[in-house]
This record gives sequence, structure tokens and C-alpha cells, in this order.
Amino acid sequence: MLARLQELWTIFRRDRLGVVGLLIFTLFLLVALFAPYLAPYDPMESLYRPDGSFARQDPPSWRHPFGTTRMGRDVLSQVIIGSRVALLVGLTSAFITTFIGTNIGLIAGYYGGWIDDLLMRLTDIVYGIPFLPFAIILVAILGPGLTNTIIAIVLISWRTTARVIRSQVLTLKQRTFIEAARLTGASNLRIIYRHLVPNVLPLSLVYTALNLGWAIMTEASISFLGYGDPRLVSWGSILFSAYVAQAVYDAWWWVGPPGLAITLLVMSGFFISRAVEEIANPRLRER
Amino acid sequence: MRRLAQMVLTLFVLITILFFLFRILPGDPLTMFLDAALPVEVQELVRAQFGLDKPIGEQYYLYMRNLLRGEFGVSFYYRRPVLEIIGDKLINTLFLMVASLTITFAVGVLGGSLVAWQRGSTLETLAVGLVIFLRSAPEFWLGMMALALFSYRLPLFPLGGMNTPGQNFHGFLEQYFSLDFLHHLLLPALVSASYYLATPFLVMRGSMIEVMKEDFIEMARAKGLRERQVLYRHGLRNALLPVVTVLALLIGFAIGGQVLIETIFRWPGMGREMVLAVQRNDYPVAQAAFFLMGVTVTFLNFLADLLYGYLDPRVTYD
Amino acid sequence: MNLLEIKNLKIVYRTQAGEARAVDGIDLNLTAGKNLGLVGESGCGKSTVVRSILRLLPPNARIESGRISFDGKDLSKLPERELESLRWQEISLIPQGAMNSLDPVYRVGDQIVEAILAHEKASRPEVWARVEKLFDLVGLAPFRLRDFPHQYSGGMKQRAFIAMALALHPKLIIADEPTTALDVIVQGQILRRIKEIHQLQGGSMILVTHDISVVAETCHEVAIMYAGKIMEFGRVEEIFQEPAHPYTMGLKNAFPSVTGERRRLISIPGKPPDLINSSPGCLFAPRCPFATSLCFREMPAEQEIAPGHLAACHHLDRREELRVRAQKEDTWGEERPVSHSS
Repeated sequence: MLARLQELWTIFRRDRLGVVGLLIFTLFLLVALFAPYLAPYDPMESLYRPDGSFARQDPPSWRHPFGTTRMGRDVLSQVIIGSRVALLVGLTSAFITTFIGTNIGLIAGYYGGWIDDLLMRLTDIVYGIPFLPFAIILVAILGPGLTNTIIAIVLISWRTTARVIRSQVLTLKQRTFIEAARLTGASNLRIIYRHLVPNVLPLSLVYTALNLGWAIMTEASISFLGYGDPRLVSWGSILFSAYVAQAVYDAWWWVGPPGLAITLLVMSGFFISRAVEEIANPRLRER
Repeated sequence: MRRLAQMVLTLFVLITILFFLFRILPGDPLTMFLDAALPVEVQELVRAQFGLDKPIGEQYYLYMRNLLRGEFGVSFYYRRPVLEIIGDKLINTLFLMVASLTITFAVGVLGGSLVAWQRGSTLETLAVGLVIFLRSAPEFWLGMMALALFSYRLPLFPLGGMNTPGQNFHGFLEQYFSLDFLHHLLLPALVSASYYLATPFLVMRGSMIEVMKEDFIEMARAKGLRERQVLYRHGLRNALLPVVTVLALLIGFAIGGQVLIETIFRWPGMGREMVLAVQRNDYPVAQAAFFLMGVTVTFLNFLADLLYGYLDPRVTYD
Repeated sequence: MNLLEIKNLKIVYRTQAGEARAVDGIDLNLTAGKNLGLVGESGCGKSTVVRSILRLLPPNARIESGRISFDGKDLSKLPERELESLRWQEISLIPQGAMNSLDPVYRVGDQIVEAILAHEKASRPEVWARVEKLFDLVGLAPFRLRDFPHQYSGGMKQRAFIAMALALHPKLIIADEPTTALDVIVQGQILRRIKEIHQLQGGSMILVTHDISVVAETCHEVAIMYAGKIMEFGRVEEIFQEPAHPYTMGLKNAFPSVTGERRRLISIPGKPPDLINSSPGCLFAPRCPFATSLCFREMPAEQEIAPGHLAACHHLDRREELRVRAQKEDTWGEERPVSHSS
């Protein structure tokens, strides 16, 4: 097992962008974990300049590396604290999505017949639902909050994973080791979870990394439109208040950092997924 | 034929989901949308208008009947029939979406091919890095940055909207086929196009790399065709097929993105209208806008499928 | 006059493991109106040689030295435009992978018409009518022109390619393993077809194949290639009746006899050598049952044993004796009997 992991790491390491992605991701993860210690100020506190005047939309300085907002809040602290929402929503939705999508794909692909038909029609239908509008309406109806955001993301984004895993299972089913397992009298569940899962896992991981970026982006979009949890600071909500204040024209430091943070984190997901794909799909490695 | 039946089924289920989404969720959704300040009689009237006083089965029947007739009810906010409001917005949305998807595909297909033909060049690395960056950046953020740069710092484009205010248009042609409209359309179309670009670009690049290894490419060269003919008539034409497959996915993706891009650029389309309707608790408009977006996705997916069948002679529909 | 002259051609491939010498100093001459067979196991560089004639080498291949002249023109120096008009017009190709050499998205007829229109100014209906006649000639129903490649069988694709290759009456047709995908009977038919039609037009042909028996009734001269070098060259009768190189003897054993005589097929044991780190001696020595220590030390030079009959071997003076021994199965060491099919 350890040897296998080491081998995977060797392949992964060959993809330079994948390693960069992993580094960026780890960095954000550390920032999120230690956010309260790293943030120099309370993100919601209105601050004052040393001369006692209100720090209204101050440009970057040593005291405030990313400047302040119109309410005199420290942008750096907001971005640091905001990483928690992004990673919480991103990781939770990515793992739930992968879990649901992989299982649906496994069941549809393995059992075939009407079960497959039913699940795949369902997938087609979910493909017909516009993602972001659905998420907005759901969050508007259920009420803003992280849980509802995660529910909205998961309800839609399992579709891609399910489709991809199903076709992978269909190819695996042709292989002899599945037939052999069946002949020795292994139960369906055992075949699925002992024999198929280890083979589709790398591919699932590719989509976990993609879903991570996808979920972070969706959460940011929902918060940006004003449906985030008003008590929490997230990158999307920072951009929402900057947008409402029309800060993009006179306070670039308020708009730039949260946007770049989203970009970097989502990009790390892309890079990681591409590197994992080389593990999942050996044909790519030759190129 | 099978595809058509499938499309109808998808739409049917979509409508049903919509029905339950607005009715069955915790609490009475209408109560949330209804302004408590409204007189009780008006509230009752609205309930009756949506048939909420009837049993659920009958509600479902009425709902279906109204949708099939194209009756989406009356907007709470505008106090006019929903269809009247949404109809224009749908056209505006389609204009922007088609414009940005056209740019996306033209640039993605040509750019993806170009870097595939120049495998291993610096151009390839830079271009791939750029499209991945653009896809990783939030669409609304890109829009804000573009507005700040190209409309504010360099006043090249208007700050939003669809037409310069204060103009009176006589008819459809005058409004949509004017330089003023094009001027307003360009920046939002370019921003969303650059966000979507990664999909066709990367797919085209990968598929072109594979196609250029095919025997028929060597054969086309052996036939004495000009290199341009080899690359475009045989290379591009074949590499295009997987891109058409992702076109369907991209359409679904794009219609969601419309919500953001329309909000940022104050484009009077359906996405922005939906967000506004949700904010104004204008339940009939929100429902109709969502429904029409679903129909658009499903219908365009269907068209993309037909296009694929047309482009690939190996595909037959039963 | 020589239609095609190849002088000291050297081609290397860049690979991850280093540079591979696919073609290592080859000389070939082809007289107009004659057919040449280029025979060797897969990977011996025969396809690379013919691809270099049309300048269709993959991007990782490089011509290190040598000259290829066709009809008095130096092909490696020809400008792109002139090369494009020379392709197919004067040299056409029947490809090895005929299965995938037709573009799947266009009708077969259109692809042949495309080749003709690239070189001639003519109206489409006129060209289409010509292609219909060609189809008839190669034994395909003209209405098949409207089909797409996926509606064709392997044999039909092969015939379509022959029709395409003949369309412009080229001076030279390069047939790269044109019949490998087909069964033996069809193979014979097709090769006879090409020969008949093409010779009527006065053209030459290079037939590339791993099956030495195929060249017997099609070609006038044969070059036997091994590991990027020519081992033996001569008129087809000489090569078949008096092979001088042990490798030629081995190849003859490995394929069914052309005269129909029934015997066991003997394959040559071992694998072709690594082209990246080649040894100083004869490249065939490790697999040769007659190899001596000299063979491993020194590369044999090419010698003319009879007018127009060349071979590169240290033991040419013992060739009569070796020929007898080569026919015995146990000479070739490991016994690998192959049943005689067809």
C-alpha cells in the first residue's frame, strides 16, 4: 500500500503544474486553519488611522497591506478569514459530490438495464437544470447559509462525476477480473466495493479536484449576488460589498485580492486534477 | 426521434421539479414572497390566482395547463403579465449568449488548433496558462475588472446597459441592429467569452494533437494538398467533433454565467431579471425566468446533438 | 535512365532513449518501368525510406545525410510548392494503414476527386465520371463512391486506394504493405491488378513488404533490408534461386513458397537489434546461425557477386554450402514450427 502511494506520488511529481497546484492548495489550507492567528485585525471591525481619523478606503500601506474598505475594515484580514468559507464549502461539497456521483455511476454502470436507464435519464435531466440560477433560487427559498449553499451545489454537480464513473465502470466490466470475481461467487456489493472502487478511485479524485474549484466558484457567485450568510466573511461577500460600493473604480485593492484568491485556489484545483488524471489515465502519460 | 422524446421528457421533469421547488419546500413559499403589508383580501386573491387554495393534485394540473398555454401569471412587481416582461429579456439574453458563445468557439477552435500545430512552443505554454487563468477567475470579477479598465480608465466601452439611455426605438431592427447596441454588447460578450474559452480551447488542442497523428492526415499530404488544406479541411474538420460534444455542456454552463455577467453589466436579460425578481419576491417572474432558462439549455443541447450527427457521418439516429 | 536514385541515405529518429538510426547509409536505384521490392521485418526502416522519398517523415525524424533524386530532381531541396505538385501527380502512395487512411468525415468519392483536383483544372462532374471508371477497373461498384469510409470493408478500402493511386498516372507508385490486412487470395488478386494497370501506363512501383513471397510475381528487383541497411540486392530470380545472404535465406524459409511447394515454415529466432546502441559488427550476427567471431567484430562491406547482385556478408564465398544448411530446420536453433496456412 505504501509502495503504491509512493509510486503514485512519483507519477504526480512529474507534472510540474500539479505540484504547483498542490503547493498553492496547501498554502490556502494552512491559512484557513490558522486564520484567526494570521489575521492582523478583526475583519468586521471599523478601524482608525494613527491620527484618530476613520480609515475609510485607505490604499495599501504597511499597516494595511491590502488597504481598507469603505467601512474602514482591513481587506487582508477579510481575505484571510474568507479563505475558511471557501475551503469549508469547497471541500465539503467536493467530497459529498464525489461520494454521491461515484456511487450513482458505479450502480448504473454495474447493474445496467433499467437501473442504468433510470439513473442516466435522471442525470440527463439534471444536466438540463441551469446550475447557478437553481442555486440562487434554492438558497433564496431555503434561506442564506453555508449548509443551504452546499446542498444546492451538491444537488447539481454530482452529474458529471456520475457520467464519467459510469462509462469507466462499463469498460472495467469487460475485463476478466470482474468476471473472475463473479464466478467465485462474490456478491454484487463485494464486486462493486472491493473490485471496482479501487479502479475508479483515481478518476473520482480527478473530479473531486474539479468539483472543489467548481464549488468554490459557485459559493463565491452566490455570495456575490448577496445570498451569502450575512454573518460570515467570504471572498464572494467581500466582492459583493465592493461592487455595491462601486469600489472597482477607485479602490482596486478592495476588489483585486479576493478575486485573485478565488482564481488561485480554483486554478490549483485544475492543476491538481490534471496531474491526477495522468495517474488515472495512463495513455496520457505517453504524451 | 428518440432524442426528441428525451428532450420532451427532460422538460417535463424539469417543470415538475420547478413546481415542487416553489411549493413543497419548508414553509409556505408564497408567504415568504407575499408582502405581509398587503391587505388580506389581496393576499387571498394572489393565493387563488396561483391556485394555492386547491389540493396539490389539482394545483399540479392547473400549473401544467397554464405553462402549456404560456401563461406565467402576473408579476407582483410590474403588475403586468409575466410573459410580456420576460419575452424581451429572453431575446436580450439570447443575443448576448449567442454572441459570446460564437466568439468563444471561433477563438477556441482556431486558437486550440494553432497551439496544437505548434506543439511545445512558448506560445503554447502561454496560451494554455492564460485560458486556465481566465477560467479560474470568477466571471463577475473579470467583468468588474474589465469595466474598471476598459470603460472607466480607458473610456472605450459604455459602463453597462444595452443601449444608450434616452433613445426611443421604433421596432426591433432599430434596437438590435445598431452600432450603439453592438458597442454595448461587445465588452460583456468578450468577458464571458474569455471566461468560457478554456473549454473549447483545451478540448480542441487535445483533439487536434490526436488527429494530426492519424493516417489520413499523412495521406492528405501525400495527395499533394496544400498544407493549409491538410490542416483545415482534414485536421480541423475532424478535430472539431469532440468540441461539438462539449458545446452542449458549455451552453448549460453559459446560461448560469449569464446571471452574473448580466448583473455586472446591467444587461436587461433574463438572468439579471431572475436575480432581481428573487430580491423583489416577485415569485411568478423568478419561476418563469428559471423555467425559460431550463428550456433554453435543453433545447440548445438538442440542437448540439443534431449538429454532431450532421458533422459525423458515423452517427446514426434510430 | 534511373527514375529514382537514393545515395547514402541516413535517417535518425529522436527518441526518449536517444537517437535511433532507422536508415543507415542506403543506396537504391530504380529504372523507369521496373518494379522494386523492399523487403524486411517490421522496424527495419523500409517504411522510413519510402516516406522520406515523399518527405512525409514524422517531426522527430531527421535526414542526416544522403540524396534522393527523382527524375533528375533533388527531392530534399525541392521547394514546398513544387513538392506538393509532385506528390501524387508523379509519385503516389498506397498506404500501410489503409484502414485509417481515409478521412472518416468525407465520402470516399470526394476524397479521390480531391486528390485529382489538387493537380488538375477540371470540372467536378468530369472528374467524378473518371473516378467511376477507375472504381470499375479495380473491381468496385461505382455507386460505392457515395459511401463513407466506415461503410467499406478493409479490402474495399484497399481497392479504393489503388484506384486513387492510379488516378493521375504517376511515374512511381509506392505501395507500403498494401495487402497485409487482406487474406492471401485477395492479396494476389490485388497485386496482379496493380501490376497490370500500372505497367500498361508505363509506371514503376516500389513494393514495401515483410513477406518476401509477395514480391516474387510483382517485382523485377528486390532489396532486402535489415536494421536500416541493405543486406542483399538483386534481380528477383537471383534472390529467390541463389540467395547469398543468410538473412535472405531465413526470410525465404519464413514465408510460403511461391511455387506452391509444401514445406514447413521456419522463422528466424530472435528480435531485430536495438537501433540506438548498435554494435560494430554485422547487425544480423546475433541472430545468424553461421556467424563467426569476425562477424561480431567487423561490419561486412557490400560486394558484387554477380552483375547487379550485391550482398553484405563475410561468408559470401561459402554461400552454396550455407544455402543447403539454411533449408534445414535445426540450423535455425529454437524450433518454432509454423503451420502452413492457405
